Amino acid sequence: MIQTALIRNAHQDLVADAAYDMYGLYLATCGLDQRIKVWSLEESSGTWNLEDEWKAHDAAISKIDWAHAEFGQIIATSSFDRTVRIWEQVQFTQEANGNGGASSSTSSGPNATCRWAERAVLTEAKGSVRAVQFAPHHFGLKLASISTDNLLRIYECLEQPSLTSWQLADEVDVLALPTSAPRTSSLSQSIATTTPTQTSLTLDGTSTTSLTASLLAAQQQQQQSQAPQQNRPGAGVREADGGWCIAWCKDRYWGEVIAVGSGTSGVIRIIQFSPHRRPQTLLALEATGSNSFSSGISNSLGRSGGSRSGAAGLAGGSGFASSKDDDEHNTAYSVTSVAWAPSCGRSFHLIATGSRDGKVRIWKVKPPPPSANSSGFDDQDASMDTLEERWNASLVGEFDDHKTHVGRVEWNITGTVLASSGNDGRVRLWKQTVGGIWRSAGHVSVEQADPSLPGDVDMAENTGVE
Amino acid sequence: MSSKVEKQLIWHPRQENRFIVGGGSQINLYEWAPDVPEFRLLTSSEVLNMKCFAWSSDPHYDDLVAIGMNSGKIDLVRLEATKVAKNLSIGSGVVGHISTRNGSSSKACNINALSFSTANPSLLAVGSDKVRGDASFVVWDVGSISGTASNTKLGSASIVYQHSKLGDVVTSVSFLPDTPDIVAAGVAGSSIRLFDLRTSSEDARSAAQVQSKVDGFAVDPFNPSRFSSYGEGTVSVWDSRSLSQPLLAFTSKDASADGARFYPSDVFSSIEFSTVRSGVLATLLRDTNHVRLWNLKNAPPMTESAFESNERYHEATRETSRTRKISRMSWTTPANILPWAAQTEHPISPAMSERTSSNSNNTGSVVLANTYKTKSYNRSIMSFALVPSQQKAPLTSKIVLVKQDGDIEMHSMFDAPKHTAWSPRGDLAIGVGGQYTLVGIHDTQPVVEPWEIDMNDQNGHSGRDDKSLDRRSAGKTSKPHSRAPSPGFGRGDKDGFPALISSNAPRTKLGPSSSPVPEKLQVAGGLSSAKDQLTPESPSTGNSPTSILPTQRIPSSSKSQKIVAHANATRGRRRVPHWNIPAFDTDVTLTMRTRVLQGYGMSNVPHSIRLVEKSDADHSALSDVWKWINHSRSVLSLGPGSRVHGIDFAYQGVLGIWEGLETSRTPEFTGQLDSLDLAGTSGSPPLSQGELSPGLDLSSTVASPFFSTRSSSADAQHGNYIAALNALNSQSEAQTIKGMWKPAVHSAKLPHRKLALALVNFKIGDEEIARWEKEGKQAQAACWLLFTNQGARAIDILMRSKSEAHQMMSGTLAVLLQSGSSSKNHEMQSYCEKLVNRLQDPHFRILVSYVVFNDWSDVMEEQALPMRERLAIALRFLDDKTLTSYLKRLAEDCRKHGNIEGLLVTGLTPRGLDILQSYVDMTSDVQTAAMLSSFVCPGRSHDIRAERWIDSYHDLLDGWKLFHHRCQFDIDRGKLLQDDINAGDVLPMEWVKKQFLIKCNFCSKIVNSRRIHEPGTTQRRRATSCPWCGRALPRCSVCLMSVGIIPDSSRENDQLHTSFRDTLDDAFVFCQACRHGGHAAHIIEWFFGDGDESRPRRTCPVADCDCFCDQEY
Repeated sequence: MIQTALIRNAHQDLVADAAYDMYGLYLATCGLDQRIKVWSLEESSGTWNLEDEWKAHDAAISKIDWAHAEFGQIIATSSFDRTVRIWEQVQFTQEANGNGGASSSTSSGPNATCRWAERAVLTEAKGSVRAVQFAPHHFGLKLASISTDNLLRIYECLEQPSLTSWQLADEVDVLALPTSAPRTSSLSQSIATTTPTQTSLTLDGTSTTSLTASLLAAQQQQQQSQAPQQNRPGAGVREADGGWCIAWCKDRYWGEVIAVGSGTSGVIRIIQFSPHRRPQTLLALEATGSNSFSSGISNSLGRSGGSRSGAAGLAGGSGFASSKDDDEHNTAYSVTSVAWAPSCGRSFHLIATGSRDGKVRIWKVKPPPPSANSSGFDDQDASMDTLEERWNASLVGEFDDHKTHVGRVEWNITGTVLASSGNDGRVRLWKQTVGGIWRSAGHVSVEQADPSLPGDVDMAENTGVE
Repeated sequence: MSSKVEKQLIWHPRQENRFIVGGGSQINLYEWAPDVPEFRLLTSSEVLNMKCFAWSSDPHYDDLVAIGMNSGKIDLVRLEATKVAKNLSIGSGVVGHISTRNGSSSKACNINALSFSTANPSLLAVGSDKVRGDASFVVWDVGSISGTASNTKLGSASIVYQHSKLGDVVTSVSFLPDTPDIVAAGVAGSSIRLFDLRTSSEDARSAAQVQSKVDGFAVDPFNPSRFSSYGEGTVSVWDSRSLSQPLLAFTSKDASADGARFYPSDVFSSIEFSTVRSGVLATLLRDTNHVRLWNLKNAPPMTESAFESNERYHEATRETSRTRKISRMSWTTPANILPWAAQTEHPISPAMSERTSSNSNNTGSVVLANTYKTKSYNRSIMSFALVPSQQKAPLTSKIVLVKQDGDIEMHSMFDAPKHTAWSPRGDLAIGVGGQYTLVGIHDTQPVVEPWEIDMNDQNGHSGRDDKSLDRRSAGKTSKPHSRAPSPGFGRGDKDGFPALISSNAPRTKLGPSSSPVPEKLQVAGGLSSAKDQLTPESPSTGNSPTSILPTQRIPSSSKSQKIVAHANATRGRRRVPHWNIPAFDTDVTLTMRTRVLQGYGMSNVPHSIRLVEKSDADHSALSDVWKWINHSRSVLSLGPGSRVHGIDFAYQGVLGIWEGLETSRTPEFTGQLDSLDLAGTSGSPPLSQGELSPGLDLSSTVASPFFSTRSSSADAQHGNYIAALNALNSQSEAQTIKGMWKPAVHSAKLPHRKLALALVNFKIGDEEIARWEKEGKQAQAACWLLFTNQGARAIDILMRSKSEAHQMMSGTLAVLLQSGSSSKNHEMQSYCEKLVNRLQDPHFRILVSYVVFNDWSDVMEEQALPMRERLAIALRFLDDKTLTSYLKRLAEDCRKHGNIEGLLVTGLTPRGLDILQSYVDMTSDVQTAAMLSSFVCPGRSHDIRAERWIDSYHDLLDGWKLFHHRCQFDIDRGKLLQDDINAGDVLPMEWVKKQFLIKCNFCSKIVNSRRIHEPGTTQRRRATSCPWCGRALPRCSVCLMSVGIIPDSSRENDQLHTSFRDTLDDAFVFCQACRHGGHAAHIIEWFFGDGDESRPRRTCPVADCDCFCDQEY
C-alpha cells in the first residue's frame, strides 16, 4: 500500500527543488541555504540516507536537475548567483588523483570525502537563473537554462569525459520571438537561412563570428528586455512577479523543442531548435478568455531570429509589442511553472502550467500527424518538412482549486498524473478520467505530510474532493 | 486624521506569544495560546491623545510600552499593571513620563515615532515634530529599570543623544537590530539619516535622499545591516553600510503580473520583515484587504568583470576550436587531437576566479525575486504582524492582523515554496519547508528477473495453450539456464506468481470502464468547529488560500471582556495521516510495472491472458484481446506460417476477413516459401497443430469464380481468397464446430462469415447454455435461445432460476412472445421502451428490445455487451449489407473511444493500430500497445507509432532499472520476427541498424561500412588500410602493427566454416581519453596481465603517456 517516508530537516532553510535520478534511487535536493544534498534510497527498507552534501552556490539555488544516466551521475543547478553549475559524482574508491577526468576541481566540497565535484560554471546569464533542465538524452548532453534577462540558453557539453567545457549553443531572447507571425515570402526565408548564424553542433570555425555576434546581441537584448521594467519606478533588480520556467519535450521525434515561460506575459512559448534554422516558435499557449487557442507556427524566419541579428529590435515587431501591453492592461498573470508530460506513446503532448492567478492549466498539444517517412531524427530535413503542418493546442483542463499562486506543476513518469502545489498548502493531483476529462484525483495537505506538527493543527476530517 | 493612531498591531519584541493592538484611545494586550488555540485579552488600557507607541524588549518586563502623545509627552506604561493594580494600587500603570519640551511652548508637538533598542532595551529613540529650540530627534535612556517598576520615575529618563541641528520633522525612527548605537531616522524633506550614538551628537553619519517622506522602517532580523523603509507608494531596501542609494526600491507595480492593481495614489501603511523566513518582507497598502509578501534574495554583486570574463571564456573556447582544427591531421601525436589534453589552463578558470573574488566583497545585490499575497479578507486591514516561530523553516508562517471592524484574525500562510518530484517508480517527493515527504508504493521485494518467472501455471485454466507453451519450451531448450528458478522464488507460489503482490495489493484497474473516482481524503485542516462558532460568516476553509487557524472576533470596544475560544472537542484525537489517494494505486505506471514483473509479454500469451484477467477481473476487454491473439494463431493458419495461398491472415480481424484480403506483395518469394510450408520442410519447431494443417486438397476442391488466379508458383490456388477461406474453415470445423453451420440470413459470403465466427470464438451450443445457466447467467442463456428461435426453452430457463427477477422476466417474455410480432400495439411498445431503459442486465435489455421491435439495431448498439458477443450476434443474424456497415461503424467507434476490443474487428492492421493509438491516448498503457504492435511491426508493417510505443516502453523499463526485462521484451520481439521469417511470412531484413562505425581519421569516411565490400571492390583492399583513401590505420601501441578491419563479408564467410575464428583478439580498442590503443588481445594483456606481475599495469603502454587507460576500458 501507500507508504510514506519523511526526511526531516533536510536543509537548514527552505528547500527549493528536488530531482530524482533516472532510476529513482537518488534524490538530489537543494535549498535557500545554497547547499545541495544527495540522498540515496535503501531499497530494502525504503529509507533515505544522506549520501553527500556541499555548498554549491553563492546564492539561493533555484532548480536542480539530474542528467540521464547514460552520461554518468551528473547534476545541474541554477541559482540566483546567475550561474548554472555542473556537478559530477566522483569515485574516490581508488586512491586520489586516480582519475584523469577528475583532476580539474575537486575543491568545491567541504573536505576530501566529498564525492561530488564541480565540473563547470556557466556564467553567461545576466540575471538570476531560474530554471535549468537537461535535454532528452537523444540530443546528447545538453541543457537549457532560463534566466531573468529573458534569455533562453542552450548549452552543449563539448567533451563528455571531462564535463568541463560547455558551449553556449544557442541563446534566444524569448520575448523577442514573436508568438505568431504572418507568413512571409519564401524569399526572405532563403535569405535568412543562408546567413551562417547557427552554431549548435559543429565545433569548427564559424563559431568565432557567431559567438561574438550573439554576445553583442545579448547586450542589446538585455537593454531591450529591461526596457519594460524601466516603466516601473524604483531601483535594483526587481523580478518579483515574473515567471521563468522551461520544460523540454521528452520525445525526440520533433527535434529539440522546449516550452518556455518568461517574464510577466503569461504566455508559454514552444520553441523549436534545429541545426539548420533559427529557433522558431511553434506555438504560443496563452490563456485567454476563450477555451481553446491555437496558433500556427511562425514560419517566418525573417522575423523570428531576434536574438541573433543586430536588427533585433526591429525584427521583434508586432509580437514583441503585444507582450509589452501588460503594463497597460494588467490582465496577464505570469506563469510560474510549466511541465511537459512524457508522451508515453500518446499521439499528443500534455503541457501543464501553473500560474499566479491560481489556475492549473493542462494543454493538449498535437504535433503534426506522423508521416511514414520521418522516422526519428535521422532525417532531420524530413521532419522539418512535416513541421510545415501545424502544431495546435487546446486547453483541456483549467482548475482554480488552488485559488492562489500555483508554485509548481509536475507530471509523473507516464504523464498520467499531474501534481500541482500552491500556496493554499495543498499538493493536488489531477488525473484523466475514462472520458478524457481531467479531474481532481485528491490532494495532500502539506501539514498532513508532517506528523510532528505542533498541537494547534489537528486532523479534521474533511471532504477532500470537490 | 493624524491626531490619532489607527489600529496598530505589534507582536512581542522578544517573540513570545503576546501582542498589542492599539488604536484610538485604547491599548489592548492579548495573549495567543497556540495550544487551545485562542486569543486571550490580558489587559486593556485607556490612553488619551495617543500618537504612537513602542514595545520595550526589556527582559524584565513583558508589558512595558512607551506611548507617544500628540502633546509631546511620552508615557511609559506597564500594561499589565492594571491587572495587578488591585493589590498594588499603582493606578493606571503609567510608570514614567518623558516630556520632550520644557513645557513652555503652547504649540502642540507630535511625537511621530518611537523605537526601543533591542540590544539595549533602555534606549528609546524619539522622533518628533520640529519645534523651535528643541531637537526633533532624541534618544532617551529611560533608565536601567532594576527592581520594581515603581522605581522608575520621571526624572530617571535622560537624554543620551540629540540632534538639534536637524532642521526638520522626524517622521520615523528605528534602531537597527543587534546594535544599541545606530538609529535610522526618516526626516521630512525626504531623507534617511543614520545616527551613530557613539559619535558626537551634532553630526549625522550618513544620509540618503529618498523620493518621498519616510513613514517607517522595518529591520531585517536575518541581516543586521539591511533595513527597509517605506513612504507613500514606495518601499526601499537599504544597506546601512552604504546609504548612497537603495539596494532596491519597488512599488506595488512590481507585482502587477501577480494580480496587483497599481494606482499612483497607493500608500503603504506598514511593512515588516518576517522573523520566520529570511528575506521575506510583508507590506500592507492602505485600504486594501490583503497583505502582500515579497521575497528578497541575496545575490553576488553584478560586477563589470563578469562580462569580461565571459569574453575571456569565449576567447578560450575559440582557441580551443582552432587548435582542434589544426591538429586534426596527425595520428602520431594523438594528444593534439584532444583539446583537454593540450590545454593546460582550465577554460573556465577566469570565471571562477572572478567568482571567488566576489565572495570577499560581501555587499551583494538584492534581487526582488518573488511576490505573493495572503487571501483577500472581507474587510480592509488596518495592521498586521508576522508571528514568530521557534521552528526552523516551518511549513507555514502565521500572520495576525486586525481588520477595519476591529476583528483580529490569525492565519497560517503556506508560503514555503513547495515542489513535487516524481520518481520514475511513481513515488512523489513533496518538498516543503525544510523537509521532504516521500509518498509512494515501495515494494521492498527484490526484483524478479524475467527468467525466474514461472509462466506455466496451468491450474484451472483450460484452453488451447499447448501451442504457445510448446513454442516456449522449444525456445527454452536453446537457453539452458532459463528454466532454473532461483530458490528464493517459486517457493510458496502455488499459482506460479512471484510473491510480489500480496493479497491486499492495490487493485489495478485499466481499460475503458475503470473510473478513478476520487475518494474521500483526509485533510489536515483548520479547526473547523471552533471557527464556525466564532466567525460564521468567514469563508470556508475548503479552498481558501490560507487555512484559517484560530479565528476569533474580538470586539474592539470591549474593555476587559475575556474571550476564551471553545476548546476543540477533537483535540488530542490525533490521527495518523492516512494516505488514500487513488491517483497512486490506480495509476497505469504501477499497473505496467506490476505486470512486467509478473511476466506480461508476447512470448507466453496464455500467461498474459491470466495476468490481465487477474488484475482486471471485472472487465474483459484486454483479456479478450489477448485471447483473440492466442486463438487467431490457430484459426488463421494452416501450419507454421500464416499464409494460406499467398494470403497473409496473421492477426487479421473480423473486418479484414469480411472484406477480403489482398495477396501480399512478394509473390515469387512467398510462392517459394508456400511450397516449402506445404511440403513441411520449415525450419521452425514442429507445432502440435501441424498434423491437421495440410489443407491443400481441401482448398483445391473449391474453385473460385471471382478471382482470376495468377499462380506464379507451385500453389495452384495462389491468391485465391475463397479457397484460402475454405481451407481455414475446414480446419477449424474439424476442430470445433460440429457439422455445417448455417447463418440465419441469406449470405453471399458464407465462408467469410464462417471464418470470422471461428475467429470470434463465441460458441453457442447446448453446453454453453447449460454452463451459463449454472453460472447464473440465465439472462444470457435466454437471450441466445431466443435468438436461435427457442423461445420456450428461454422461458424455461428463466423460470428455473432462483432469482425472482428472472422469474418475473420469464412471464414478461412469455407475454411478449405470445402477442407475436404482428399484434404489438403502440402502448406495448412505449412500455417496453421504458422497461429497456430501466433494466440493469444488458442481456435483458437486448432481449426485450429484440422481441418487441424485432430489429437488431438496438441489440447491436448495446455497449455493455462484450465485443465478442456482439460480433457473434452480428455475424449470425445480420445480412451482408448491414453487417458491412456495422463492422465499419464498430471499428470507427472503437477508434474514437479507444476501445481496445475493436482489435477483434480490425485486427492488427493499420486500422487496428489507430485503435491502439487511441487506446494509448486514453489509458497510457503503452506497455500493451508496444506488445500488441510487436506482433506485426516491424515484420508486416512499418508504423512509426509502434516504434514510438516501443521506445517509450523501453524508456520506462530503463527507468525502473528492469534491464533484463527490457532485453527479454526485445528477445521476444526478435523471436516473433524470427518465427515469421522462418515461416516465410516476412522477408528477412536488417532490423537493427549498424550501431558502431569506425571513421578514417584522414578522409573521415566510414571504414567498416558494408557497402564498400561489395564484389569487385574488395580485392585490392588491405585490411590494415582505409578502404577509401588507402592510408594505414593507426598502429597498435603494443605490437606497433597497424590494426586491421576484417570486412564483414569475409568474416561472415569465416564464421561459416569455423566456429572459433571470430574472437576478440582481432578487435581493436582505444582509450577514449588519450586515444591510444591497439589490438584488444595485446591491450588486455598489457593491463590485466597474465599473472606474472603482482600488480597489473595501469598506465598507457605508450611512452610518455601517463593516462590511466585502464579506467576507461
